[in-house]
Amino acid sequence: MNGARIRQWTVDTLRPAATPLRPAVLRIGVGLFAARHHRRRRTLLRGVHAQDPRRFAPVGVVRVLQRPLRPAVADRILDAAQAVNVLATVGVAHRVTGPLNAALQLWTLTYRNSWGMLYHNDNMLVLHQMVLGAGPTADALSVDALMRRRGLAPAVFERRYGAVPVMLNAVTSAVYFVSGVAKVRSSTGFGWASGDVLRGQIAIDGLRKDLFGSTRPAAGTALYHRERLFTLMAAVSLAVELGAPLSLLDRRLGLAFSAAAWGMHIGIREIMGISFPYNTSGVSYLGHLPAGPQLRR
Amino acid sequence: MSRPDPSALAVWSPSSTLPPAPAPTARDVWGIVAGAAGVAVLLWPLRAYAGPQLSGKDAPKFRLDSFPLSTYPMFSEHRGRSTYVPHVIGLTGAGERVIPHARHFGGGGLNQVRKQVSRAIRRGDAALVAQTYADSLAAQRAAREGGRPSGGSGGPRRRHEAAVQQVEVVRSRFRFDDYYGGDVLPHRETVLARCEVGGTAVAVREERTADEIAGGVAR
Repeated sequence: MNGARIRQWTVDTLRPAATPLRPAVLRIGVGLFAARHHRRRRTLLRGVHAQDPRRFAPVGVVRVLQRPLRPAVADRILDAAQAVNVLATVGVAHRVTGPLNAALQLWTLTYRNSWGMLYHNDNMLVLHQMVLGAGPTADALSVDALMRRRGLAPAVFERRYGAVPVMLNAVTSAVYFVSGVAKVRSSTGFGWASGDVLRGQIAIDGLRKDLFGSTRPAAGTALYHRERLFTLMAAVSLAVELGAPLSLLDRRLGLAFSAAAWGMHIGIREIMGISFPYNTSGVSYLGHLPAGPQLRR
Repeated sequence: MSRPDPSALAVWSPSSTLPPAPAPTARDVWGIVAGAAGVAVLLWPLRAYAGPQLSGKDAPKFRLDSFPLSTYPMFSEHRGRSTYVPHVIGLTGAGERVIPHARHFGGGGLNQVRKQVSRAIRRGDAALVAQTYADSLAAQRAAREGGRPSGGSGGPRRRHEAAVQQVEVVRSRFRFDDYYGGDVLPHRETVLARCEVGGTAVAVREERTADEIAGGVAR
């Protein structure tokens, strides 16, 4: 394979020429998920805002604050973020609402994580919203497209449209890959795959649930003494996480990765009672199911 | 570069009727470079795993964890066969243990409360934790007695919590195999603070053995 062919293959893989339908479907899917997800958590998030200021431990962009915002102000920002998310999802003035939505989602979710506990289940959602907010995702299936009178699904093929789902998938892969490296760069190394660490994590997580007034999942209790099962689960988890970057190279690998990662999160939910709603919903893997045709290589 | 006008093609055309993809342009190369830069930023937390210190509470993976750029340290620490858990217990008049719900300390979710309680204990504020729980339980009891709805679900839990006379902040040691074998009481524990529901918290330091715990010697 000569240099020109390698370059062509690289560009066709990372920036396939597709129609604006492809990123539009992602904008709508992720936006709808975020709207529902945050509406259901509104009471919880308002409770977070009203906590004792002594518990405030800012992280990320929220480090610009020395002390927490007044709860009413934080509540207003949360509500504004949800309103802008609706506009961005519908595709109203997306060149403004897209980036603004990305910034507001980043702020509100970072603020939620600035009270002493870093949750890890919203990272992928907010990173995806940042990609979709900054990209050309409202040239189809949007109010903007209607206003331009080019129809809801313009039949134009451009590489910038095909690049959006690839970038989304790259973000997904990076998240899983770092998680995988975290496991093999622990005190056990690749011995993590034996399942002993995972079993201990499930044990302590269930214990903590009991000791703070929740209930440990029955599946975790039932499976605790089946050590070989944990070896299998750990080995599969490690393969999915460290193998995630391969999902970018081929559509079938992407689909296989999506199915395996989704199954892993379902298992985590059932056995540990830890929910990754964005992942279990399947929306996080939409980028591996590209809508509309692309120009062939 | 010349190619058929793609806008003349229907979006739903079979892919076999579509023209081949255009040759890469400089714009595509820059687009890929920008994407690679974005991925490099996402992978930046991997620097936490470059050094020799891989475990422990002050390991880089915990110090450098942030949002949304994370080191994703969850599930990576070896927990062994036992653990200490700082938490809060409620005691009825008969000495029965009742676990009060985390929301008596705060509304950010169970794990956030767990972290906040641990941090407060490390700071030497165990009495403040006990006071917060006791005040919340007293308010819940007053609401029940006044017939006021306290909101949310969890009626049976609140009935259990209504019997709590005293709360204690404890640091308890559990063995996983015992716990998941049905022996849910700790092997030993240290009481760090105590507060009557409706009273004032005091810091203490008392050790309890497995026999004392099993025998219900809780006060």
